[in-house]
Amino acid sequence: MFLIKKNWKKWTTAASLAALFAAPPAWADDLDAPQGVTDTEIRIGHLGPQTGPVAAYDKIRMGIQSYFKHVNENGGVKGRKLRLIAYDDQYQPGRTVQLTKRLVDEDKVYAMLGNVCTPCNVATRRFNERSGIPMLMTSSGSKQFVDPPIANYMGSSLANYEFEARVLTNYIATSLKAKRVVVAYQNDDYGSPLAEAAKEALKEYQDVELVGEVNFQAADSDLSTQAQRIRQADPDAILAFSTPAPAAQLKKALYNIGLSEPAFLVSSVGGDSETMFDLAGKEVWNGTISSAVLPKPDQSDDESIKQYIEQFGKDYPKVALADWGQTGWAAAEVLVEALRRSETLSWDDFLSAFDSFDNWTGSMYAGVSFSEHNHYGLTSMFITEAKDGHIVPISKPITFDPVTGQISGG
Amino acid sequence: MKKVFDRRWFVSLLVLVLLAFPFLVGQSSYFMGLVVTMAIYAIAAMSLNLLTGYGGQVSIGQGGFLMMGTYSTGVLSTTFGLPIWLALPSAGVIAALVSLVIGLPAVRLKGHFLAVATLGFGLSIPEIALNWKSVTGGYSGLPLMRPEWASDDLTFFYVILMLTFLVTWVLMNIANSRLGRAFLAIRDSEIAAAATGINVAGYKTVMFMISAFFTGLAGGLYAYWIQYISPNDFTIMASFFLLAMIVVGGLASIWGAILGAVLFTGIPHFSDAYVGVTNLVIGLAVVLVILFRPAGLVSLGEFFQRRKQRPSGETPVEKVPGQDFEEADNA
Repeated sequence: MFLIKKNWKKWTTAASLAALFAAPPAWADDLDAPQGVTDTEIRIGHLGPQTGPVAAYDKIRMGIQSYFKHVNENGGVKGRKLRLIAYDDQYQPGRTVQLTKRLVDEDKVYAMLGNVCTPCNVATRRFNERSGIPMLMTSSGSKQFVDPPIANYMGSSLANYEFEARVLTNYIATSLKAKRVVVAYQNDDYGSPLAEAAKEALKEYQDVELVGEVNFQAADSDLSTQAQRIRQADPDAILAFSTPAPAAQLKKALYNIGLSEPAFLVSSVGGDSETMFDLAGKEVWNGTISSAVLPKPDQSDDESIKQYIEQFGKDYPKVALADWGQTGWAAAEVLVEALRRSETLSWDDFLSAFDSFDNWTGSMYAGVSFSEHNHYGLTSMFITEAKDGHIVPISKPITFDPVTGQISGG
Repeated sequence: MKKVFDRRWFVSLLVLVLLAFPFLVGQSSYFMGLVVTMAIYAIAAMSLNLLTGYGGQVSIGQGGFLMMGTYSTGVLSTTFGLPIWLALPSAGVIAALVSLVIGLPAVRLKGHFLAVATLGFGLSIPEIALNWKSVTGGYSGLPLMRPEWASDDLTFFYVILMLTFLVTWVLMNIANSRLGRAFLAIRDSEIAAAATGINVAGYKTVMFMISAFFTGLAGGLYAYWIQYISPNDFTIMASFFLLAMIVVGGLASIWGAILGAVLFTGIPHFSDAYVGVTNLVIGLAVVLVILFRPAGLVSLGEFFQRRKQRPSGETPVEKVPGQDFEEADNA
């Protein structure tokens, strides 16, 4: 007792610190409602890099935030406001694991939306499957989150890597009629799986030969060595899987050594943005073929696009419209539609509401479909070409059937 | 005498709070994870402080040893089926052996040159992890399972806590031993140290190996806690953070390293909800401490104590890095 009296300041400090850590979040959920749903709000979690070398993906969060604001200003969902709780995982799986526990166990979010980074999503998959938290429109094109279907994983906000690789190789073989192909890829969790899928897809075309393979890092600023190796391979077409900056560097390096003859194709992540003309130079980037899952804001009179331009432009006036913000917005549109279709908002009822999406066209995406055997969600994309400072669509929607593996349209 | 009592009282209270922590937070996996991350970074920061604070050898590649620890544990455990009690120390031994390979030429370098050599190491390890796909799984990473008896977070929390206590005790003893005194002598003047019969190159190599061993062990613990290993964790940024932890906490002080680790791991908990603020707060903390308390936050305690004891008008005495060790040794 004497000890406590004498050291009361220390005891008070220690007790305050303990209380600070021990304090449970001050949410007052209804007892009957599922986690994260109160009379007034629905809490949604999101994890992605907000800082660091890949902070560009934070625009996905901005897109979600902007759409939530739009919905809230128009009455919310089922009389409740949407609230986004997002943390910066810095693209580090270790942090993602820790922050997932924070969102699910402490913040008690109802669902997670558009979580970025393939390895980060791999690291948390076991925890998420165990907790049963709805994982919606994961921002990874990796097949493992959607095929075979996982009960609480619904859709990806990006085109599936395998699907995209098959669409681009099909375009090379059938439309461009190229015979000699070089695959160039960013050696990381984004570029490598796409390159593997493309090499596999090229085997389907007997008269098309893979004549070379080069790789690079996302931070590489000089790709002249890779350009020389490509020239030695003498290709008709170059298929690049890369984020924007190295894609621009590679095309610039090819241009500088006079290699502008072969067709240059880039995956949507590295080619579906008009900022590419600034990065590579207008003359250099012209003629680049890419793929896209979302139409450009200035090329569509879709109602959803109009709302996006107005709201996102108001919320983030300094951020480019034709960028990742669209992905976040579109993913949030799918979430809100599923919430509206769910009757009780219990996790089971909410997840089964996705099965009623049959080529739903109410969002910015060309079409969204789910079923018991199809958790891809996004099964349509189109081919684009860089022309005079704009990315313009040059094909009709190409659709992938996850059950049969068939690709149709275009 | 009073000072010794105070320190013991404080340590006992800290240990008690840590032991009771899971129950104070309702066994929250997130809060336990926060303390575990603090403990793991504390081990790594203490190890780095032994090298940089006590030995004066600036290493900017310590994140590389953390990553080596994660991968060694993962490969030994999943590919070779080694049990945790063998995989963890083996991860430390592998890191120590690699540090020997780097350390032998590096110990002949000084100041900026040594910093650049270790920076190269810190940069190359993530690249090796990414490209050595057959062993590391490349970009896909390596999933890792804890043994059955430690599968729940509560049990493994105590495993990590006990190991942290043990490592802290060992490192404190090293710092206060003949070895620690030799490290300080080398830091202050290599020529003087050599003149008193200290094998400078030999001690520097030992310093590197001890530091790498415990950092590798910390990496192993992290791998088992997260249960997934990837080349994106512990990049060069982790090396910079570790360096910042010991500078902010206090060079040549075990308590300083712990304080730095707790602070830098704890800040994101409060700042994560505000976009882009975390790194700003950490950067600001580093600048403020370097400007106003170059001996680190750990010197604040002594500063206040001296102010209390000092008769008015007397000039305060600045703490010199390494004083901690001398005082503890004399106590």
